[in-house]
Amino acid sequence: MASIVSVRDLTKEYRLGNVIVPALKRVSLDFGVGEFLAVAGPSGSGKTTLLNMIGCVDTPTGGTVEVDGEQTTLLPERALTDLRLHKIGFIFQSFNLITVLTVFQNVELPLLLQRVGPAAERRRRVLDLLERVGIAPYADQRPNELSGGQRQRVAIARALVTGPKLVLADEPTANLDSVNGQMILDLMKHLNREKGTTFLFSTHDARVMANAEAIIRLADGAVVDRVSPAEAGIAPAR
Amino acid sequence: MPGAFGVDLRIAALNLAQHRRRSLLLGGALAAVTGLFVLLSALTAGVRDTMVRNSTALDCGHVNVGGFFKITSGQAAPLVTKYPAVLEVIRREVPELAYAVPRGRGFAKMIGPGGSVWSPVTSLDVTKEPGFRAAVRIESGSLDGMAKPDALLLFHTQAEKLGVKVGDTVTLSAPTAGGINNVIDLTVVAIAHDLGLMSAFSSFVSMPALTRMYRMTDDSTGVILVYLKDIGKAPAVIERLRAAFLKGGWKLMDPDPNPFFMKFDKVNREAWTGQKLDLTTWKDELTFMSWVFTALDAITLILVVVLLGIAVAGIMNVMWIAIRERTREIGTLRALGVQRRQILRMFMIESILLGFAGALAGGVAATLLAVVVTAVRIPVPLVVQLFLLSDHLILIVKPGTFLLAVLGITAVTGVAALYPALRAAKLKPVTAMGHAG
Ligand SMILES: Nc1ncnc2c1ncn2[C@@H]1O[C@H](COP(=O)(O)OP(=O)(O)O)[C@@H](O)[C@H]1O
Ligand SMILES: [Mg+2]
Repeated sequence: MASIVSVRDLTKEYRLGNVIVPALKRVSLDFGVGEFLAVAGPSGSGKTTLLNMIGCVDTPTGGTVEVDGEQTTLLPERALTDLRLHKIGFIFQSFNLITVLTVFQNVELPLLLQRVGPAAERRRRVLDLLERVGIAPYADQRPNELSGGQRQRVAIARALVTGPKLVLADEPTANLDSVNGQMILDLMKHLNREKGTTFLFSTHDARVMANAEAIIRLADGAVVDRVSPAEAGIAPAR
Repeated sequence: MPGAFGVDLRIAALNLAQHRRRSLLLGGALAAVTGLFVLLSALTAGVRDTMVRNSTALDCGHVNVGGFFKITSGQAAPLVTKYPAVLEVIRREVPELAYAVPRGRGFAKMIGPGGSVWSPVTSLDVTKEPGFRAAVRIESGSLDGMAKPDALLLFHTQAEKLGVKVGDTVTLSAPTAGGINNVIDLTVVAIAHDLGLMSAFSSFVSMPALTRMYRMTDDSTGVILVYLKDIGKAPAVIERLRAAFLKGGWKLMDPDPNPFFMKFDKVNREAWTGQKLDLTTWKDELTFMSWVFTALDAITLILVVVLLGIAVAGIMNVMWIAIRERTREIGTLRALGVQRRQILRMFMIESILLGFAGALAGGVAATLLAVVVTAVRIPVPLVVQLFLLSDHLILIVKPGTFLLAVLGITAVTGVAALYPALRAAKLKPVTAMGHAG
């Protein structure tokens, strides 16, 4: 299995005044193309920090992160931005849609940034994804007119519209009720199988972990182990 | 355009629309600043224009060929002798000429039944001076009366002081070089509305009256007023005329940017006798009024600086608020793959759009206001009339000023927004994530 992410001795320390908070302690892990993985651990264990490092939105204190064969720790900010644009899709805990843009425009945004043209081609791809996530009827609405579950679907469409190799989702269901949360997970799983997109999502909720192929367990900024839901004593979700 | 610039523009415009109240407030403030600047400049331009137009019609030409004649070194008379030859040189050398006319210069005590006043007395041929006819507004009588050889034109306040009406007689007593007072009687043919500062210092008589008062020869006059098709050509014309007169054998006084009545002392102290010509521009003759322009310019400048300061503070403030409000959104855009310079551009577009819209609206509103104010002829108080040389407010919005105001304010908006926008561009993409823990 080809490796899409390779993390070696990754360390991240936050500085709070004079105190140094170690958020990640020499974390090493690999995962392959097409995996559907959960990063699990209690609050404060370093899940968000790990995803930020892999997603190149923050810089590590030490160690290396390789994404799709590129050593990200060596890249300048401009190249990192390009890497995010072309290889990584983000799904945020608080959805993070652009409030002034319509649903359609939010999903179209990454295509515009990638200079995908012509407009008809973009339109086809956006509508196709909106269709898949079941949000097509709301294409011309603003995000604040939608429910949380609907907004997260839009966010998923936005993350996937460019066909990224890797999708990172930091607690994507934390702000949703369990029914909507499960629908989002099902949708992600479906897209993972259909398109072969690699998904890495974080959670501290056992019901969410149950959806993963494998669970990377974190505690106090270190990887404890990598297990299947069954091994973790969680009944796999459907 | 599918490019990223289109996205920036769209997001910027939509953000402006989204925060309508704030945009309207800041845009309105920028409009007000622009409008005030345009109005102030229009006032300055109006005053300058009116002053220049009226003073050049009443008091001097665009170029003035005057001079002094001295029988002995200490007795200077403001005369141009054998002036037809001088006129001939002017006609030959100045293709820019609109018209050139001689005027006599004198100074006399005017005595009427109600009192007396000392006043400069200027003789002129009204039929040859269209500019004069246009500038003077007659209150009673008629300018046509100036064709009579003993005609006198007074301004309202002078006529009141002398206690005369049209048709009355005024006695003029003029001291001459020999120490004798020449006395003549003139008939008031017209009384004009006061024209500010100018009207206290001038009265006009027909050509033969002054010739008679000073016992001058027919080929002598006080000054030749030269009017050009384009007032801006005056300095070039002066240079050419100086060369031509020197070549023609005339003696010239050194250039001295002052009106002729301020030159008597200096000329009297010099040793020469005979005729010397003195060439001045309208600016030289009106130097005593230039402080008005300086004051107006200074007021405009101070106000503009203060207003710009307020505008800059406002823009930066609003930008900071916008950026703080949108920190997460900026982080999100950065995470999604928007480059730093695009964030910078987005905020710059946003502020420049707002600045341009505000400035344009303010500029257009001020221009309309200026047109209306000028059209309805709002009367101004007497003190203001003194400088304005007009009894109503005249506001002139020059296209250059309008452009300067609109583009200048837009540019200032951009500059003020630059620092906050740079800070926004430096925001890390990680600000998109929640740190709930
Ligand atoms: N920006 C930050 N500044 C300081 N400390 C931080 C910051 N972000 C996270 N931390 C700390 O790092 C540790 C790991 O945090 P995080 O990665 O958010 O954990 P999780 O997502 O698993 O809850 C925690 O102790 C947290 O308090
Ligand atoms: Mg977290």
